Amino acid sequence: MNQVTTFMALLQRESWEHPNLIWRIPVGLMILNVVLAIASVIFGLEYFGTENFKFEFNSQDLLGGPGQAAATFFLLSYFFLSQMVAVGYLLSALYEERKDRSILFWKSLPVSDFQVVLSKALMGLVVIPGLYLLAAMLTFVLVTLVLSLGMTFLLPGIELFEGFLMAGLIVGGDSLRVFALQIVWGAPVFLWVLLVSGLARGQPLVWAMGIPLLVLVVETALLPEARVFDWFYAHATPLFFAGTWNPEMGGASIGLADGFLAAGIGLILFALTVFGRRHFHEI
Amino acid sequence: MSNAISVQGLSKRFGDHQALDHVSFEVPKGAVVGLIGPNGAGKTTALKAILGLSAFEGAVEVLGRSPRSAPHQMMTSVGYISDVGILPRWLKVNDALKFTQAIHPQFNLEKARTILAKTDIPLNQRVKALSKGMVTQLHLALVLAMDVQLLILDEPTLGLDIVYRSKFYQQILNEFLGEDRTLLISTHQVEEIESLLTHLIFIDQGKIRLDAELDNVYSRYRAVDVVKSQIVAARALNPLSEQAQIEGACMIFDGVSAESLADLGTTRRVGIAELFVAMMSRDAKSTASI
Repeated sequence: MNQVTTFMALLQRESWEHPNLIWRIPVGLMILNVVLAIASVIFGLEYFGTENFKFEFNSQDLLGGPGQAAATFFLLSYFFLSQMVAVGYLLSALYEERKDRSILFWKSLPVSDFQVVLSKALMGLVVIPGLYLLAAMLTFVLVTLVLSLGMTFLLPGIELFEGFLMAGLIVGGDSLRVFALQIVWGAPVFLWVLLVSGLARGQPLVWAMGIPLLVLVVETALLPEARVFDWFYAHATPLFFAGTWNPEMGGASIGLADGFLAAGIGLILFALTVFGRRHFHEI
Repeated sequence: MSNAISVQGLSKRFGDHQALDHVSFEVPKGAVVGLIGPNGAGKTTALKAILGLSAFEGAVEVLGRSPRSAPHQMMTSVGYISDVGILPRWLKVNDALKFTQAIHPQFNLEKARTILAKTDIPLNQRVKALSKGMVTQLHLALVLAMDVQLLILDEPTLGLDIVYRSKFYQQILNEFLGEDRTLLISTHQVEEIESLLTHLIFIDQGKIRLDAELDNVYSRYRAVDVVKSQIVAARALNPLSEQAQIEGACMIFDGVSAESLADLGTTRRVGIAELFVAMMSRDAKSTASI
């Protein structure tokens, strides 16, 4: 059997199990934002009246200020949500199948534990944030289109779409970079959550948060500073909001050594999760 | 290789509880083997070891492979139904077919659809909307369409009504058995599978109590409905068990010839269920083998 076919089926399986988290929420948000944009054009202009409406920006102005702010708003809010959703997904990814005993069915099929864990890890680390990013970009384009068309038709002489779109492309381009970096940055935390999901006999959230907190307590009691916990906590914070945020470098960045450390620890946690599923226990 | 399954010295301990204690048995290819034992006897533990679903001590070989080395590869030739209700509740019937087709090299989608067409299962429903019986039918349809060489069933009809149970075994007989295919089944409802079995394994407290071909069981153990006047004479032949009846007693004898029993009453073929009860009631410490 083709490995790619199997792997695609495993990803699709996740979307059947978690349709809300994986695609309904981002699509719903997209629709909501577009509807709000249409409503704001119609009702906003009706409220102000087209004669009294003064829009002081031109397309070039948008490129620097409000356009980028709008694009950043969509991308950041979707990005932050995607990280929360992905962690929630990973927390249940290997727990629920043991709780409802369906793992006995999945294990009766010719699919390796490595493939299963990989599909769940990629879904949480890459696919869910990626789909939300895509939804954010589409939302921005559609909202921009609605606003621009509305103003073009109702306020002749104002042409904004190009400026908005260019601003969106600048922000969007950077967000792709941050999206890629976040995969490495967040890997230790995301894969820790997946490991707990595969091992906990109950209350995976408590275990996922409790063990790092225990590390904090031990470090605080025995050592001058809680370096392990601080490192983990930093990586638990989405890159946009983490301490490495550096506006002069055009946003967030990761040091090379820290990147390798995060990837290495992520790989170890991944290997442990595969091992854990191999020696699973029903709950 | 004439054995589908070979188990040598299989042991498994859960804390202080010895679930399996140096269990050894073989399942020949083409055999239909009933693994019979009371609750907690070690049946599920043994089956999970065979499937590579749990760690164990000892040597297990399934279709020439070790189940621990690459269980997922082994599962291309092995089907497994543990009991009702392990299909994920959120899974749609159609998606179950689609998924299995994508990941199983031998899955025959048409065969699965043909089997399901004979049931009342709607293809667009989720598992949670199906009755227990339907879930089992769906699971069986998936497994039968996988064209596996070995099917392992662990209490597959537990909690199902008699109609579904009957349909289940009928389908196994029609769609699976034959062509050197092997079935290992653990169940409490022994009577329903008695006609399918070729071999019998009794297991109790983690030990094998009986491991025999069914024909040999019938020639070794005999049940006699002993008439009242012959009860004393019958007891002298040391029956395995004695069950009082209105007109005498039913006794099961181990290794007593048909001629010796002829005068005691009506000799008949021993039922697996009554033999099982008789053997479990007896203080059997040693493994019986034929």
